[in-house]
Amino acid sequence: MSEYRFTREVDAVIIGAGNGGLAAGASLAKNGVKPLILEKHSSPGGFASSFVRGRFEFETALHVLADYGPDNNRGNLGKFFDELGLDVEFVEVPEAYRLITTHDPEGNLDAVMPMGIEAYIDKMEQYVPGSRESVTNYLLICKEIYDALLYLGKNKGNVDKDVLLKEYGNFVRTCAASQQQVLDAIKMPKKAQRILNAYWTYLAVEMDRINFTIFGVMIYVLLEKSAYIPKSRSHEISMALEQKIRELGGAVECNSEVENILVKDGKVLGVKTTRGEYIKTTQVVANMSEHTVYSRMVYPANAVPPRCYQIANARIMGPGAVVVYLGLNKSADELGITEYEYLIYDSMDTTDVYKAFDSRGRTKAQATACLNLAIPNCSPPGTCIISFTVLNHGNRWADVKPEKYFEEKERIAKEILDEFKLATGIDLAPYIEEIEIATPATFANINKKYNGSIYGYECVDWDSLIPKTMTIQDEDENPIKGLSFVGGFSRRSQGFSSSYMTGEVAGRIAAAKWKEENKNV
Amino acid sequence: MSKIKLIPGLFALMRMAGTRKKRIKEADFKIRNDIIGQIAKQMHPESLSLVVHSVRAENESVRTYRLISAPDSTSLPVFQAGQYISIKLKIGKSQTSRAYTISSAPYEAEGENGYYEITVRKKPGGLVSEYIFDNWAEGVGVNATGPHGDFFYSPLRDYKDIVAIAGGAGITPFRSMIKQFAEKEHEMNLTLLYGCKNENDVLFEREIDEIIKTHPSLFRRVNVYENAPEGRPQGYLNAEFINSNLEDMQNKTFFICGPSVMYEFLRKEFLKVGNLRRKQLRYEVGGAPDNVTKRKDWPANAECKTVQITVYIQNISYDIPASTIETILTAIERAGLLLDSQCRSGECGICRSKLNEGDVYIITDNDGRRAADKELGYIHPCSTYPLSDCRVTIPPSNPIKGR
Ligand SMILES: Cc1cc2nc3c(=O)[nH]c(=O)nc-3n(C[C@H](O)[C@H](O)[C@H](O)COP(=O)(O)OP(=O)(O)OC[C@H]3O[C@@H](n4cnc5c(N)ncnc54)[C@H](O)[C@@H]3O)c2cc1C
Ligand code: FES
Repeated sequence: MSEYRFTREVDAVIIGAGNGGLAAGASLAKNGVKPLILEKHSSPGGFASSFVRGRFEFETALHVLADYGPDNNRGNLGKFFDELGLDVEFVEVPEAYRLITTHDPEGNLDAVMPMGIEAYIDKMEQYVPGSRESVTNYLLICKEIYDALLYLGKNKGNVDKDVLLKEYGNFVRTCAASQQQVLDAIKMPKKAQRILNAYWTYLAVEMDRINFTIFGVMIYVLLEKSAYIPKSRSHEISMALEQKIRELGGAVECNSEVENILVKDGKVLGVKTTRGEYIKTTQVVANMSEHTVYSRMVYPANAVPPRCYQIANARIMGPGAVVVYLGLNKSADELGITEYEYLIYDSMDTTDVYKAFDSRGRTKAQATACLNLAIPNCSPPGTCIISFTVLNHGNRWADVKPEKYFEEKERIAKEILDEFKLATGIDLAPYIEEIEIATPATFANINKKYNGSIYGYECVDWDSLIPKTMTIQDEDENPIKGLSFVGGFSRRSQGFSSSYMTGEVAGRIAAAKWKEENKNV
Repeated sequence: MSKIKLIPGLFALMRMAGTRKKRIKEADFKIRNDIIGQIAKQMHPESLSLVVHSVRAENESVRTYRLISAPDSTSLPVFQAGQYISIKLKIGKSQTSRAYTISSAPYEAEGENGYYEITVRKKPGGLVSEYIFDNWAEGVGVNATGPHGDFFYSPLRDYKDIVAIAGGAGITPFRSMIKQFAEKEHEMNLTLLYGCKNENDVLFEREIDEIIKTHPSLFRRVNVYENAPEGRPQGYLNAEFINSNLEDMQNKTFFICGPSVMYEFLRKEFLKVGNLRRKQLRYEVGGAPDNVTKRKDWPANAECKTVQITVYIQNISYDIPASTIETILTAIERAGLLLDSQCRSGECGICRSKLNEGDVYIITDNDGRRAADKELGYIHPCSTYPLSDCRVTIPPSNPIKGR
């Protein structure tokens, strides 16, 4: 018998009820395996949450939910949610983005880009006459990549190389290229490139390092499937997923922190909570980073094969963020806010802006969303909610003295508001009724994000979707049997949609493994 | 669509997997430190292990306790003047918590000899305040969490002209603010309007006057007494008093801290003060009211009686008695069941639980529940009263550590 005194046994334990964990839970339950989700926080959701200050309920993290899709054109995520029968009311966001640059050596930009491929191409032609052909071409290639990934997904890695080459030649030829290489190869006018690249901070890797597949699919899915947000903040999605998991026989326990994953002979035995409860299971799905799991959670520590550290250390930790949440005592209309999402950058020199994520210098990029433009009644009449996200590496905060921490937060928040004013001419300062400022330390505290990173690991070519999908079941990549990873730190890039989908896939695989093991019992 | 000519050779795909293998093989084996995780832990430790350093009587029913870090534990987390800590206690079979504002200044918590002070008013019949008076002496260990709370000055949000309105023991956050601003900040100024029952009720008068003397341009204090001593202003902290002591109301932020009856009264009075915007008025949360049946919106047909609550924790159920005029949290604690709490005012969400069935009364003054939670029947038991038999699912909670 085992050396641990287990008090219960469950089919699978999911550590963390974030997007990845909840989706994995729903996916397992749908596939007939009853998971137990243990969540440290007092409510499920992780980043898919909200919080109340005064008369405002702020969205914690979500700007746009990609890959959901309208009723007649569902994306992968939309299909997954439909299959689950989730009861959530979604609202479409009004436009793709407004890009403004403020210190651009190549000339400042101000462009409002619509959803929809045709509309996007037309608008780009207005801003950059002569861009139509190359932008059309680019988006057609993106569609081919999207279709190729569907094909790969359907065939679970067992692909017919001839089909791939014949039907998806562009995919094969571009899959190891960077976004910049592709843009140059199709000779897109520079200005059109700059407008197209506006969405880059959603991946937070410079254009000459970001894998084209990832960027191309992101932009294609955004324009083709449009973007949505839940009517009652993303907490509503989390609650709907939780409810679904319960209905399907699983359980979500909040206020329950897992301290250790118990491992013996290279296999998962169970978990131990900080309350000292031992729970037996053969499948553990971790909704957190490999760094966290391998360095702090596996017990005994020497049960971690050295290779695990290599897998984790090879990866590059993405940035965290400073997020400023404002509840304002004027309506968006009164303030002159006309777009849902403002992407405001110093310039479209992504290398320069990327460097600023890590420095104590001026911040050079913000993604700013006014919730009321999508959901007019999300705050009381005569008010509105705006949140500003500025990417910031955890390291940037490492040498801020604790007693200077609040000051530094306020200083950056002020800089962000000043930059917004410079870009839009709108001064929000006099109207702030509620303010909350989150930093990487906040995300490390509340969401237990490793190094405060909100973006998981960087999705550079060798560490992005394709190679990870091709190796997903390799023993090499899964040194501890029964342990898998979901969420922003796992196979795909960060982002709500990606995190949900990692859970969907991991849940299916873990369910299959569980069934395999239990058929002999 | 054009055929893109880019990567020569066919199996870039395979190459990527190859690169991946190579990268992993070349990576090191070191365990990386989570620096920001460590900082976050230091700033927001799961629990604080403190020791009573000294006790000072402010008057016969108010004492200030100086708390320091227990030996072997880390330095005290930083906080903002106006925040509170939540004291965790086991009294008899009940595990409970109470919020106490840190009445000392943030700068006094810095460094090796740093400390927090809390100033506790003994409430007649009060479970925790009486326990503290009876049991806390130099050297006694104290369990707490925090600092927490949103009642602090925000330079981006608030005006530089601050009006602090205190009732009785509600002076505590303002003592912290005044000390801190005097030491570190010279940008804003603060006017303290202090409502007291009688002369004996006034706290920290000498200390605050000393600070005012050295910073006359920053601070001002006006007391008003229900039973005034000779030569002092008699009356109430009302619109008239506020109007007579202040000018230019539009460019001020009012921080208000006192008993809940004072809030009910002041909310009406402020309507007479002028056309203030909501952002100008910031009320501290204050825990459950002394007598919930006196609240304006307390249902007229609600009886004062004993009801039964069926509490579910991890699928085990417990039937416990409860009173309609006590919170569900109190009933749970009285029964010896565990439920974490922090603000005990409905704001923070730590006690978040699900009401499966039953009629309840909810105090909505500081309702921190999210829209989706309200829709789904979630409650914050610290500010919810059972009006009928109820069924409630609560999250599992941890017993307090170390004691
Ligand atoms: C943010 C905040 C800051 C605060 N700051 C301060 C401060 O600086 N100074 C200060 O003095 N106060 C402060 N308070 C108030 C403080 O938290 C307590 O509410 C106050 O000390 C009264 O607590 P008590 O336990 O003595 O009385 P109560 O909680 O009011 O006790 C009331 C009654 O309930 C009964 N009861 C309650 N629970 C149980 C149980 N588990 N078992 C049996 N019987 C029970 C008791 O017998 C008693 O009759 C603050 C409150 C908040 C929310
Ligand atoms: S303890 Fe804060 S809401 Fe109940």
